[in-house]
Amino acid sequence: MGLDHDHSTRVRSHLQKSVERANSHFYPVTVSEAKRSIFPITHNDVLTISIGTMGYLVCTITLKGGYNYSIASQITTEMLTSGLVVSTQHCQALLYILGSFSILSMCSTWLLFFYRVRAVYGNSKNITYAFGFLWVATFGMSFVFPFSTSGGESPSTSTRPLQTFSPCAYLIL
Amino acid sequence: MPRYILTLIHLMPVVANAIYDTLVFLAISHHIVSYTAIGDIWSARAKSFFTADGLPRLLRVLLQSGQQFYL
Repeated sequence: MGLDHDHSTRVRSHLQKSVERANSHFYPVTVSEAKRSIFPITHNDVLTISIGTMGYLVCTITLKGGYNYSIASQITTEMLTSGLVVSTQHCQALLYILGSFSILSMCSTWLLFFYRVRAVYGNSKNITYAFGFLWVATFGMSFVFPFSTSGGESPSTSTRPLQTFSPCAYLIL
Repeated sequence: MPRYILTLIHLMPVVANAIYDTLVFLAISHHIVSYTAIGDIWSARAKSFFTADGLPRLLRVLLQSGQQFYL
């Protein structure tokens, strides 16, 4: 009986502590806490995007217009370059996913240009072979891309942004 | 694996992308410019590359949108 009581109080105090900890993330009091609470929502394994960031994304996409970029790659680029958007425990997994989608967008863009050059040359056989070979070569090489990103695993309760991002990855995005 | 080889491998898609874009741009521009009506000499083609003069409307749009993308 006494043991049960002890246990429940311990659980309750633990819960209270965790709630307080979560609140301190939402409402930073001291400077050090404010520094820690750049990412106030600390669910593990969750990609969190704040409403302000969504607004920023929508604005930039509307302003720049989706002419040269597909919207998906635009969003990816904005998310990665703004840096304050992504907060997740498994950064490397996220980077692999983003890299795979950028492979998809890049290769389809190159395919469009392949069709274009073929059309300009009136479906010439030589041009089709030459640029078809080039497209296949670039398609194959682009599979390296997700592996040129590197992110860190962060400990379970604290969140950390994307850690490092190689310059090659910046160039291609 | 040495670090510089890894960097080279990581740079591969970037270089391939650049080469592919450049070749497509050059091929399309070269072919379109050969259709220009202002002359059949080298300088006329160069002029038409920069100003899109002497080209039908569709070819002009093709040339200029290619330049826009490449920039």
